[in-house]
Amino acid sequence: MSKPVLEVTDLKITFRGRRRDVEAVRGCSIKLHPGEILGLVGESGSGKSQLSLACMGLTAESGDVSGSILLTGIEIVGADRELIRDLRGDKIAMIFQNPMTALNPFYRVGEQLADILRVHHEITVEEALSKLEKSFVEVALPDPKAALKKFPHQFSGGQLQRIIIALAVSCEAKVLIADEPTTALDVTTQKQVTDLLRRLVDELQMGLIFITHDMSVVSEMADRVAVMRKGQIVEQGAIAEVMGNPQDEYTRLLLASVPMLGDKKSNPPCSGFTTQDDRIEGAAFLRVRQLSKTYPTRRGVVHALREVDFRLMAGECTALVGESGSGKTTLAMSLLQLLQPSSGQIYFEGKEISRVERKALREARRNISVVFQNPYSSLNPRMRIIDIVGEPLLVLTDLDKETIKQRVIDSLEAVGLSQEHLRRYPHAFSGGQRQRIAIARALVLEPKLIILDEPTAALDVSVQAQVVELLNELRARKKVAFLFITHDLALVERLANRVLVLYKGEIIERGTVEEVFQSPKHSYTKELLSSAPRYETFQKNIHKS
Amino acid sequence: MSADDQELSLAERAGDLIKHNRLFVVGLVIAVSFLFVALTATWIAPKDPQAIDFTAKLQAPSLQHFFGTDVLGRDIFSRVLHGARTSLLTGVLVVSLALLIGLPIGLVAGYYGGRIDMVLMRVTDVFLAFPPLLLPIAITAALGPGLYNALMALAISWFPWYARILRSSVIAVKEELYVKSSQAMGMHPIRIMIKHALPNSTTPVIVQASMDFGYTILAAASLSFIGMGARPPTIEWGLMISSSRSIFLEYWWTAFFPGLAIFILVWGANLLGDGIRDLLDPHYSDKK
Amino acid sequence: MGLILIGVMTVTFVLSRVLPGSPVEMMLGAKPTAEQIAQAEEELGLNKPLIQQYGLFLTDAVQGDFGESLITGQPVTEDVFLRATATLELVTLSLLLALFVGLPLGVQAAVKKETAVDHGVRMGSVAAVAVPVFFLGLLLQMFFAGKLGLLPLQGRIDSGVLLDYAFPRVTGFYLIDTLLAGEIGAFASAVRHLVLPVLTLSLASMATIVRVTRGMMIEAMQEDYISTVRAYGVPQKHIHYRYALKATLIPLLTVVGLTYGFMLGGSIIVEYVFDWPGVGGYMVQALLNNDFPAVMGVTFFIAFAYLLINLLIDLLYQALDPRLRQT
Repeated sequence: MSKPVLEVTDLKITFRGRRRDVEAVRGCSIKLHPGEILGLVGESGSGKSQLSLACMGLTAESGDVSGSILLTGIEIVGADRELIRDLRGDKIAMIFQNPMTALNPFYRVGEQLADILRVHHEITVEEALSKLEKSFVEVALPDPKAALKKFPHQFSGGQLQRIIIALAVSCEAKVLIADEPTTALDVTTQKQVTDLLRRLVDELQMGLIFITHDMSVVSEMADRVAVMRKGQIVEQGAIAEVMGNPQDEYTRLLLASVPMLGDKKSNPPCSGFTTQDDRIEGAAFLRVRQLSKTYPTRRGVVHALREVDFRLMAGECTALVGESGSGKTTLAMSLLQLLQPSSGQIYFEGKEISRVERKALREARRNISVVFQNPYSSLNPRMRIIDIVGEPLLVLTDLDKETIKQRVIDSLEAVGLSQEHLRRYPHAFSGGQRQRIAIARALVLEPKLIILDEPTAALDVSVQAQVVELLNELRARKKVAFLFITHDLALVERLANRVLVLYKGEIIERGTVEEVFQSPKHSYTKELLSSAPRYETFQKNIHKS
Repeated sequence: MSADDQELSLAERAGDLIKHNRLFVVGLVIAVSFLFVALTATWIAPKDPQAIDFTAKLQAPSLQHFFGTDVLGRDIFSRVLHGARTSLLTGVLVVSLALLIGLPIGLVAGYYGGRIDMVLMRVTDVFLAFPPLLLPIAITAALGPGLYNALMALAISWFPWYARILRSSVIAVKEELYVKSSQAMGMHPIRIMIKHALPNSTTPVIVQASMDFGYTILAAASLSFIGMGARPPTIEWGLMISSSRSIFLEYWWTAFFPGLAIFILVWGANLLGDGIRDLLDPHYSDKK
Repeated sequence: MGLILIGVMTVTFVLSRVLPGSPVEMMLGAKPTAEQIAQAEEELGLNKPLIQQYGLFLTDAVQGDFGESLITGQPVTEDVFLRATATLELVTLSLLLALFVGLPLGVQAAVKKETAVDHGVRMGSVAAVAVPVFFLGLLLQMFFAGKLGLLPLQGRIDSGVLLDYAFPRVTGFYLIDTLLAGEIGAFASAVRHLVLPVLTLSLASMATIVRVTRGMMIEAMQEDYISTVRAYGVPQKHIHYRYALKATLIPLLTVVGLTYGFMLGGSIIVEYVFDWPGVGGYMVQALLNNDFPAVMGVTFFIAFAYLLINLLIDLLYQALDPRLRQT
């Protein structure tokens, strides 16, 4: 085994605060060899970002760092700042989470990247540009020569990420740190980027630390994995060992929480309901007919929805699968009567609700609730929980205060919270708890349908699993139908009976989950399925060495 | 992931501010002192501020007259103390009135958008097209000079700013999911505006208003200085300086002390305003 | 923008006709007879229906006719144009001073954030903004002209100089014209007269520019793309002066526009204090003498100038920000 390019020993980072100190990293040790990918897995607050920042010498002024970090044999902890600065962009490089803001919008791409290269090497502008052009080719960026002259806003997220990777490659760094590089990208683009990184690591014999919260991605591309929790590494080792035979409680929790296709253990088929044939007229309580929505924009007309047509059955969970730009949010907003369709109708229990005034919508509103994606934005920060959850009752019923209070308490208890939370404000709760509150608010009217727009996307993995469990339990108990909007196919398998696939405003495939997942007909569906993490692939990966 | 340690309450942040930010304390002290003076001027002023005494005219500062006397023999120290009342009143009235007019306009324009927004914004654009001070001067000229006319003119010139600031804030808050949630429930728009939009969008306006307090006092004093604001017998610092214009070269105290008073009050108000801004909008603090 | 212009004219009209305080009575002085009032109203067209008055006003205004000044008897427009360059010279120089001093100070305060330099600059600017413009003018006069006798008290140039050294008015800017004519004595006199008024007018804006520049620099430093270049080892100095500064300069343009407006308003007061023969001083004289047409005319012209400046700045902004260029 060759010498490690990065060696961290007993690293401790403490931030001095006005009120108290925060121990971000509490004694971590890792080793990274050339040609090796180390997956650094942890949820928010685990310290994984701080660890990587320390390796780059970028810990903030207010942080005390102790221990040892050897970058290609050079000690970083306590070293001269100028020395470390020299190493950055030369021996060690970084790829960021948000490629859209990573580059300077006022300069052309070639200009600013060449600038960076010339800080570390005595080369002319032309030499730097030609080096960059070669790197652009390596990362498969289309039309490399022209790309150099463009501005950052002219590229897509995936392309920008490649450009940053190209920069790291041009720097000939020995260590590359990728901090959640695929989180902000589409599922299909994600795979391209991770494949690219794997290839480059092998070719150039770099060491890569891949920071993520997603266990399945780690299993696909990493050689070794370190699991971090609250500043400490709770488990570390080869993929096969850690994932095949996890020793630590937390590791096991993380592994169990990641939804994967075909995982029969964690994805029991939805119980309690047999799916009804939706072609029988009258079996559905919500009917969407030829719904279209167009927007005029500067560049012409945008067709957000094209003649969308489907039915929802009582008590079922229907998943609406689509990526960004598919029109799923537009559809949700139209169902909630927040948007007027351009053409087509929506019927609730036989009555049209798509182009009707407020008063006539009352009945429908009482029966359709919503849970949004962002738990930090969906609760009014200046309202108490009792008022937030009670609001639907206040607006849509004539119940008195006492009854409302009781219903609110019932609702909160149904989602695992309690009476003592009534008088508190949202900021006192975590993301997962806030989402529960949002669910409680959706339940309090005892609606027939709850629309859930990516309700777990903004949550930590371990919390996601809890929420999914809660949703399944609620559906069984309360016999309410769900319209579950998501891009995560494994979640669909865990929750839904039926699935609709939305692509560019059209429903291109529909059927029960089993039908669609076993024998997809449309090419897009096939693509989605192949990009989704699969349980059998996961098992293969972790047993490959 | 407990959130208790992330968010300190407003009271705690205020306490922090007082402990660590010395300038804020200075501002607070100044503001409170001037407030005290304004409220108690009638009792603590050593002499009657309007008492004319030609035998004592234009005397230099002394133990009998701390700030000297003016051309009519009036005690400048007492006049300065009484002037505090006028200036503080100015600041409070102008800002309050401007908020009273501007907030509803900004709220409605921001929430409804569309044509209502366009019309309201065009109107405020016209007001904002005038350089500061010009419009108040013109309005006061039309209404006729006088303190209350000047205050109204200032309020009329000021409200468009607040309307604009609130509007931008409301436009952002409108997209928040808790607003969409209530809309989906079919809540009445006016109720949504008052219960959800307004409470969450007022912070930038409050911040701006607290920083504006000092500036309104300056503007009012400027108007009085050129004869468009307060008129005798009202006691106002700008007016005092204006009346001393022909004689201040020889009798410096007739202009110096009122001017100093303006400076200290406005300075204190600005420090206080900065502190309030740091308190309410911590992300802004770096922009200072 | 044309719409706003009409709005401005409308406001001016409203102010002059609709509000209480008949201009006629103010013009005719003490106790005019009913006949005199009627005659004056007839002359001024005040007895016509309001809509017709508005129409007349607009057509006149578009042609630049704002009536005659009650004091000078000349058309207001002429009066304004005679004095415009004096004000322009004052305001432009003040703006330049505010920028040349304020910008570097603001940048240094941002670069040396939280050090003694930063704190000193910030304290200074908070204090500078609190000083009333007229008070500052008087103080400077008291000290430099009164006590020290170094600089002239008021006016734009020594009257003696005007007699001795004649110089043709080419641009209307004394600094330029005297140099063009080669009259160094006159030039020196013009400079000496400019020092105090320019200092007075620029101080508050200087302080504002310092604060805003500092704020924008610090904000620019926190942008993601700055973190990127820092992560790639670009030295701090490079980051400050090449990237952060460039990001600051473009939005600073808007501040320049606002400052110009602030100074246009402030020039009214400064010209009054220093007896400067510009538009502002004319305005104050008009105000004190109830010269209504003059007041309205000046109001319009100053507002118009401000609008033009802002339009110019909008255009510059578009040209400089690459994100706005291609739409």
